[in-house]
Amino acid sequence: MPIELKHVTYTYMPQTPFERVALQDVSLTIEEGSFTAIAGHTGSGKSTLVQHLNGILQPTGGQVLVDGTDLAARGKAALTARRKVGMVFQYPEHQLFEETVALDIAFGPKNMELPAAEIEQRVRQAMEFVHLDYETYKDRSPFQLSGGQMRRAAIAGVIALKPKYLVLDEPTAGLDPRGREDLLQRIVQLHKKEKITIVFVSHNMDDIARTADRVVFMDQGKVLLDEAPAKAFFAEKEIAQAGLAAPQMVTLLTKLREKGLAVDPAAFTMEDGVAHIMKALREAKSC
Amino acid sequence: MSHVYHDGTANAHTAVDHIDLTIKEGEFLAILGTNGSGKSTLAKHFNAILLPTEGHCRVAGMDTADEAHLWDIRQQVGMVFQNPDNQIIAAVVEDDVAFGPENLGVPPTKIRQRVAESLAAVGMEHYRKFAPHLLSGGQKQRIAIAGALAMHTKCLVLDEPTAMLDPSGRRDVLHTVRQLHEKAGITVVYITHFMEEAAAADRVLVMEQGKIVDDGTPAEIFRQVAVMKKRGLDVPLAAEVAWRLRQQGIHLPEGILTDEDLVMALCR
Repeated sequence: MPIELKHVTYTYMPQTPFERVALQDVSLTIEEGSFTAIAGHTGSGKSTLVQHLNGILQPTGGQVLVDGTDLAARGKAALTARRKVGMVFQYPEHQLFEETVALDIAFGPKNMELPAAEIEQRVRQAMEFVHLDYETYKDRSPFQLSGGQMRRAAIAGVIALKPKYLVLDEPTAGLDPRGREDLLQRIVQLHKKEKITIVFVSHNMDDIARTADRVVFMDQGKVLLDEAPAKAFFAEKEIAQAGLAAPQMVTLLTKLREKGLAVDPAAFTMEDGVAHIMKALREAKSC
Repeated sequence: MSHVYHDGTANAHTAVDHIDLTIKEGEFLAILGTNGSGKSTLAKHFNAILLPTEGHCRVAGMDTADEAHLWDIRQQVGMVFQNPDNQIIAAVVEDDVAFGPENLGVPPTKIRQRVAESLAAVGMEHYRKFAPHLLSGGQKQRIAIAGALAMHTKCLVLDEPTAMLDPSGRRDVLHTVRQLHEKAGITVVYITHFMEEAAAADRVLVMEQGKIVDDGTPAEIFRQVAVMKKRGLDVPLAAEVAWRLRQQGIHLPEGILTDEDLVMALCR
C-alpha cells in the first residue's frame, strides 16, 4: 500500500492579509519500497508537502491517505497510520533534549508504551544502524557529540519507532563531506536492508543522483516534474525554473561536450564520469 | 592562541589548540575542516564573541581581550552565520540593515546613505521595503552581509553562509562575497564544507582537532586528493577528475580547480 496525496492544497494563514498558498492541487503517490527525492528552491513548497505525509499539517483541500487511511480522520486508525510515517526534520539535532543519547532515542518508543526490554532492543538496533556504538555512546550527553554524530543520534530516535515510511528533510545540510557520505550510505542501507520507503527532501542533486529512483521537482507549490533521475537531470528548463543545478558531473561533462569533446554526459559518479571522458579521449585523440 | 570550553572542569574540551595565524588585510581566506575541528570556535575570536583562554587574538593591532576596543573590533569585523533566520531582526529590510549604524550613533542622513550603498553592494537595492520573511535564503544572507557593510566593516567572517541554501542562493552569495572582495577590497574569512567554494579563495586553511594542519593556495591544497579525503574532506570535482585522468596517463597541467580549467586543458 502507498502514501497517496489527492488534490492537496494548503494555505498558510487563510483569510488574513498574510494568506499564502503553499501547495496547489498536488497529487502524488509514494509507492511502498520506493526512494523518492523531492527537490526545489527555498519556498517552493517541498517542506510544506512532506509535513502532510504524517499529518503534522492537515490539507486545506484534498486528502492524504497512508495505506488507505485518511490522516484527517479521527480515532485509532488514523493515529496508527500517522505512526507508520517517521519524520526527520531539518537540523534534527536541535530537537535532542535528554540527558543521555540512549534516553533521547528511547523517548519515542516509550511514548508508544512498549515493554522495557523491547525499548532497549530498539535503542541498540537504531544506534547500531546509524553507526553510534551502543556501549560507547549510550550514557554520553547528546550535546557532547560532534555535529555529524548529533545528527545521527537524532535520526536514530526516529528509526527506533520502526516507521514503514521515513521522511527526511535536508538530512545532510551542514555536514562535512565524510559525514554527508556516511549518512547517505546509512539511508541507502535503511532502504535496501530494512525495506523502509524513503522520501528525501534535498536541493543537492549530487546526493539525489546517488540515492533516489524518482525525483519530484516542486515549484510555486506545484509539481513541476516527476521523473527518473536519469531523465530529470537533463531537463534543463525545469532545473533552471526550480532554482536547482544538475549534478556536478553532468554539468562538467556537458561543458566538455559543448566545447567539442564527444562525451556521453549521462554519468553521476566519479568512476563513470572519468570512464566517459577516457572513452571520448581515446576515440577523438583531440577535440 | 587556544580556546578550551569549560576550562578547569571535568568537561574541559580544547576546541582551538595553540594556533599561530595571521590573516592579511585584503585577503580572501577559506577555512576547511570536519564538523568539530574548531573552525567556528576560531572564527568567533575574530570579533571577540569568544576570548582566547590562552594566547592573544589581535584585530588591526587591538587585543580582543581589551574591553576598551570591543566596539571598534566589532565594527571592523562583521559576522554572518549559517542560519539567516537567526540574524535578521527587523520587520523591514532597510530597518534591519540600519540596525548596526543606528547603534553606532551615526546621524540619520548618513544612515540612509549607508543603507542604500550597502544594499546596492549586495544587489538587493530593490528590496529595501520588503519584509525579510518573504525573501529566499540566499537573499536573506545578502541582507545579513549588507548589515555588516553598513557598519563600514573591513572584514567579513562568514561561517557556512551557504549550508542552508539552494543552488541558486549559493551562487548568489558566493558571487556577492567575491565582488566585495575584488571591488571593495573587503577582507574575507569564509568557512565552508563546499570545496568548490573554497577554490574561489586566495588562501585555504585546513583545520583538524583544533590545529591548523595545512595552509596554502587552493591549487596547493587541492592537489593532495588522497590526503584531503583521508582528512574527511574532499576536493572540487574538476580537481579529482583531473587527478584521475593523470593517473590513467592523460597529460594535464597542474592547478586544475574548476570545470572551466579542465575544459580548457582537455579541449585545447
